[in-house]
Amino acid sequence: MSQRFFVLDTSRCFGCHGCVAACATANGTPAGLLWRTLLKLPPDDNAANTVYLSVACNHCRNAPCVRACPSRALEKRSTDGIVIHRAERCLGCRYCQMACPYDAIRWDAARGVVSKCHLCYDRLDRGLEPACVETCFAGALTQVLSMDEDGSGDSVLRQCSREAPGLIDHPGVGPSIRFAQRWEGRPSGPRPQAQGAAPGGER
Amino acid sequence: MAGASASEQGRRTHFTTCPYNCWPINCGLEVTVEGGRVVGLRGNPHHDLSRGMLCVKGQSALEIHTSPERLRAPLRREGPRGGGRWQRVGWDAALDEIADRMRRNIEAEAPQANALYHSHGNIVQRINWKILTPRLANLTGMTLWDGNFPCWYDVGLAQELTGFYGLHDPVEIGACSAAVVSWAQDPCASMANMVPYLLQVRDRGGMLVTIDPRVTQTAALSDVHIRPRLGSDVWLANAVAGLLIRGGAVDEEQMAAQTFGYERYREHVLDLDPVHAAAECELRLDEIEGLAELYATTRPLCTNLTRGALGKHWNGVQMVRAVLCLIAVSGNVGIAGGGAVWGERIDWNLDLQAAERRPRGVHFPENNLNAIDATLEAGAIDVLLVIGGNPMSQWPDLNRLRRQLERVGLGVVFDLFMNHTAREVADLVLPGTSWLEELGLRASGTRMYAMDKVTGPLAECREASWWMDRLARRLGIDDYFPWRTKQECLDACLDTASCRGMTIQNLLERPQGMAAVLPEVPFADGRFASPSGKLELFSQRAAQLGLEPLPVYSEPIEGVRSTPELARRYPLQLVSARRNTHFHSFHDSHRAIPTLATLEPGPLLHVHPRDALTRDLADGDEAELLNDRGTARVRVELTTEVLPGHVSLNDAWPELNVLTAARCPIDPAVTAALGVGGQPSYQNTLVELRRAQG
Repeated sequence: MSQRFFVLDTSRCFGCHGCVAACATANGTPAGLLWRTLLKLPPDDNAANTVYLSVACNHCRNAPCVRACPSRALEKRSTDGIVIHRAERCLGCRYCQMACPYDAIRWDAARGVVSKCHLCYDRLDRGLEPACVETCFAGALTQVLSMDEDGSGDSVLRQCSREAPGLIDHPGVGPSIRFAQRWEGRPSGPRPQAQGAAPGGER
Repeated sequence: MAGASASEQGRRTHFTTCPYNCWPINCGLEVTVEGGRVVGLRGNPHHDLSRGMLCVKGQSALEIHTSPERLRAPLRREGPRGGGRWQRVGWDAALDEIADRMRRNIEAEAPQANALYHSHGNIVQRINWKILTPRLANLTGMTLWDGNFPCWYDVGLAQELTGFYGLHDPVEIGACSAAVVSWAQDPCASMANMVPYLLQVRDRGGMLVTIDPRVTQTAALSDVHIRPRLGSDVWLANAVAGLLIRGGAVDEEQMAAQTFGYERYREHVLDLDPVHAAAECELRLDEIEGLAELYATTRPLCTNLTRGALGKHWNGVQMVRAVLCLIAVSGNVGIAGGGAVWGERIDWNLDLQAAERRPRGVHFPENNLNAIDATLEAGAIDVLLVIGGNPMSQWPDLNRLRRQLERVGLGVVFDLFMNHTAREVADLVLPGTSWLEELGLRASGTRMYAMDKVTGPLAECREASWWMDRLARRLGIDDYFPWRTKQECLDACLDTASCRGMTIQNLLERPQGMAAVLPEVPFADGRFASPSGKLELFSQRAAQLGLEPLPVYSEPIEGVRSTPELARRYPLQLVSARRNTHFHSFHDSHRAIPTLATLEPGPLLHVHPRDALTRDLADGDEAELLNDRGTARVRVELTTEVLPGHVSLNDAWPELNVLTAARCPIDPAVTAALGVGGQPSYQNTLVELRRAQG
């Protein structure tokens, strides 16, 4: 079964939150209800290795929210594995929120239903990129359609990491997100010095 | 209709720009209208600089236009100032009241008692800022103050003293630069639209360097991060220049041809022992040597000094001068991909400001903090029009300012939303149109874009020139707006050499914008705007005006080293910083924009865990930040993004400016002579932090 993945290049994301607002604007979510979140892992002391993670629903392979929903309001689309929430079937029981290990499901108190990222499937179906991807100044956030559900057959995804600091790959859940680090200068490993820097005294 | 394309469903697409003022790029917007209502907004994919992308503020921009909090009608205060009671009045009554009070001052031969302050809200429409507002002030003889002064005026002074401005284009930087040094700049936080061009440099194998005491978002994308002691930049730049000269990396022939005062500058920087400089900067010597190696061997190298951060230091003019001189001796002036990134290069038809009609024989206080502070302290301003600005949250030393503004006879605020100044100081509040409700122009780098009028004005909201014309007429000026239409006015503003061939009509037809007629590489012709016609390493103008002609370090007026007594009580250096989710105090400090208000619900102070530990503060705690000038309430975030002994605050929330001092190193006479200079020393502020009391 095919699966669509978010791919985040942690060596490019700089934490601007543009994706967070693009999602809200494109999907018309109620004021202050944001499907996408930006996580910041502060740098080590005396280093500049801050990590920013732009995350939303991971459209998991074995989505716990889908299994937890008693009214089949959450379903996994067969064509690309996107987990779509149907508000008209939602009971507002919030079991899915409790089941989600990534805290990706929001409570819409005014309507008494949950809501979440649907990977802009409506835009994808019209040949457009998701709003969060389209607005990314760094080109850090992209999406890939893989022909197999854990991405191991995809040449791009194979080179990516399944985990990033702050997001763990719960076994058996299978979050459809991968992390690229196309630039090696950060976030870990020795930081390059300016070319030809002479050794000097300690501070 | 030009600038709009209609589809079958009666939907129309219009192109405009984002309503925030980032430099040098203002992103393009595509707006969809259906049945007269704006139904969609996204990045304009045709805009050749932003290419369809938008940051968090641009993406939330529709919330500005559609906000239920927007002012809808002119309001007159009822009861005491700051009491929060307002009565709707008509435009005629409001303008009559302003004109009557202004006329009284004019007839008493004190036209300077009528003052106008305009700032970023007015800058959104470039011609309002550049032409239509100064024109009103000149024709009616008002004191004119401008939001440039708190923002970048000492940086501008340093450029003026050197005769060199930088002004390189982001596209050129992305394509040509071998390295970009972001010197006290965090474009990732303040100008996200510059990031594609920085990353383009990195993707080509170029080097990104950040010089900042904080771990900024830009530092996290950089190959090298140098963290000098706050305010020690003159030491750093001079030491690097000295190492270049010592190492024989400076083209002395080029210096003789291109610069003025090289010998004196050379002697000055060679006098400095790099080991001493390293100690002053609290850096390792090899960090300074590494930076010198980079400046010596990497060409073209662009130094990103865009706008105002260094100018907010007591020693800011010298800091910027030191960096500009370093750019020169490293051979990065007048070459593609070198220089410094800066603002817009396109000129407007400034003849339309009608400066020649400003009353003679009147001393108008300069646009300089010292002059403004003295004028307000003397109670010499009777009418104050605030247009798209919010001095109560933006100018320093709020308690002092509050006392000064109480003495203003009539306070008027023109804006989209209520704000701190409107609530506390205004007697009249006038409702402005949003950027989607007026036709306008926007420059970006070396290109010009139209801002299409997408819809009619909300309720009684009006654009600035509409009410300015009616105010001018009440004061007997009937040619404030001599054009038949706004289109005619915009075409007149474009009547300059660099805008050749541009009209509002052909800009509306080109969502990709139009290129201005400008030299491809700034200063490639070797001509500089200085008395010698060269880039002045030794500034003759500075010498004439009693300023230091060579870049020298001086201790800040308030700092851990310079005022140790004070530092015993207030040991923390306060740094104010930009965040992506805030643009100055726009839109009532963004509380009117739900997405931004959710992402940044209040002032957040970055504190090093060690400083928090000794103060018994945990992440997320409410705390008070205080000094002798006042106390501000903040929430703390524990992070190693700041060094111990430093705290960093997201700026432009009401009441935080109780902490900053109304101090500025530049005499108004300098501003009178050169038209720039007079920025508050916001960054020289000592504070203490404690758990919130009650």
